[in-house]
Amino acid sequence: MIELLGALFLAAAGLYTGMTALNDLKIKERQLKEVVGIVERTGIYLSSCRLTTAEIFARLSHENTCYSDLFTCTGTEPAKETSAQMRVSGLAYCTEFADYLEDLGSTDLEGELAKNRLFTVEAKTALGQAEDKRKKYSRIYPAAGLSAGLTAALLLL
Amino acid sequence: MENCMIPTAAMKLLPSDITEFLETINVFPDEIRLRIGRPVTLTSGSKSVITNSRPITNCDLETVVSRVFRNSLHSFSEQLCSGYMTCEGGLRVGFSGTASSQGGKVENIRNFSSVNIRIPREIKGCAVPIFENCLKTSPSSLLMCGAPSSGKTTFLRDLTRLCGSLYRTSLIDERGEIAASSLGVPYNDTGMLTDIFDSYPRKAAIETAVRVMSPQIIVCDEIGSADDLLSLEYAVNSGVKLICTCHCTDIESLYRKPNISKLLKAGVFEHLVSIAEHRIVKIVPLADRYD
Repeated sequence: MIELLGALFLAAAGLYTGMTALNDLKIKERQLKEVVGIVERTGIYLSSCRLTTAEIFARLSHENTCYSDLFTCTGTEPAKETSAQMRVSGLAYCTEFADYLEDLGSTDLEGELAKNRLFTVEAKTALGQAEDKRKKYSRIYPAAGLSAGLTAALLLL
Repeated sequence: MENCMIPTAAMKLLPSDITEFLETINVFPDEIRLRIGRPVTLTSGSKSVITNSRPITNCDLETVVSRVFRNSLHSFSEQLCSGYMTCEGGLRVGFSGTASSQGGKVENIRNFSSVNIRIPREIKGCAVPIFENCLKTSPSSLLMCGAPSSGKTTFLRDLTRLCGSLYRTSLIDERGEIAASSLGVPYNDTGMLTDIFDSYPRKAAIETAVRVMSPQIIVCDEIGSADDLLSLEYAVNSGVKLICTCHCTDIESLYRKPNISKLLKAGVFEHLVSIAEHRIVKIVPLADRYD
């Protein structure tokens, strides 16, 4: 009886691990969607509103995204401050996003818009890859987890 | 910082070690000049004091420029191309570097080589003699002339404050030097009845002011272009009085400036004021001059 329960537990643990791995992929995809949204809105703030870096960050900090808190800055150099916070955040695409933010405001409008377009394309590519990966592994991860769990259970029995 | 003679707003723009060094200097400067590879120079009146600070580096200038433009060069492209920017506290920061230009128009500046931080002086009461002479009883048009750095803007700032306490005044502060507005709030006292058109192109500002603010007086700094001529005539024809300044060493040479000469001949101004070395040299009622 105990062996049966142990086998069931192992199978469930395997399934849980597979589902967690799939969930991680979903979280990464959602965060990348937020990055794309933030960068696209930054482009609008740059071109239409001509907001300063601090004003852009103030707006982004009031949005409801995983990244919002990182845009709250108190110093005189918001780009560097936000970039440093972003780099250690552990969120999806944080290193690349930190590199982009560190440089924000260092060139004229044309240059900033060009950098924004380039980063949007890169972020969208990363999002596309994350979507493909999630779709590809949406069945594989739970199945593989369950299989591993069942195999371990059979070995136990 | 307590005994420092340089305003905090200027200090905030500089690298920290340069700030610490300047705190020990006993000069009340009009300008702080940073030039690449050379020590900091302070200008006080007509004197230049070369300090024994460390030589300024490319990185220092980039830091200063970045702070001047609030880490947002993209928001201030026009100011970048025009070579100066007005900052908190009315500081006017001019800079030079390598320009990228097309069709004779500067499109961008890179490799900054010099920065000049000009510290404004608000001297309340300095324009009282002009006000008493020309404007106390009723609004009237006057033109102040003087060489660069003669103190025209200081007198104009005080005259705006005096006029703005008595008449509806529209201040066309194209460079943000007179009111030194930050987030819409003027740093300098411009009078209770003054409406400020901060950083507007002059022509648009004058036309808007006449249309929407019905001013009795319009104040403009450094006139002289053909565009100014049209917009100032438009204001005068609408019954508004003008207080303007222009670069000129003396009153006689005003007549050699084509656009100013046209305004004078059209009888736009009722008084001429000559300024030199931060003093009023003379006030000339133009009716007397024509006589």
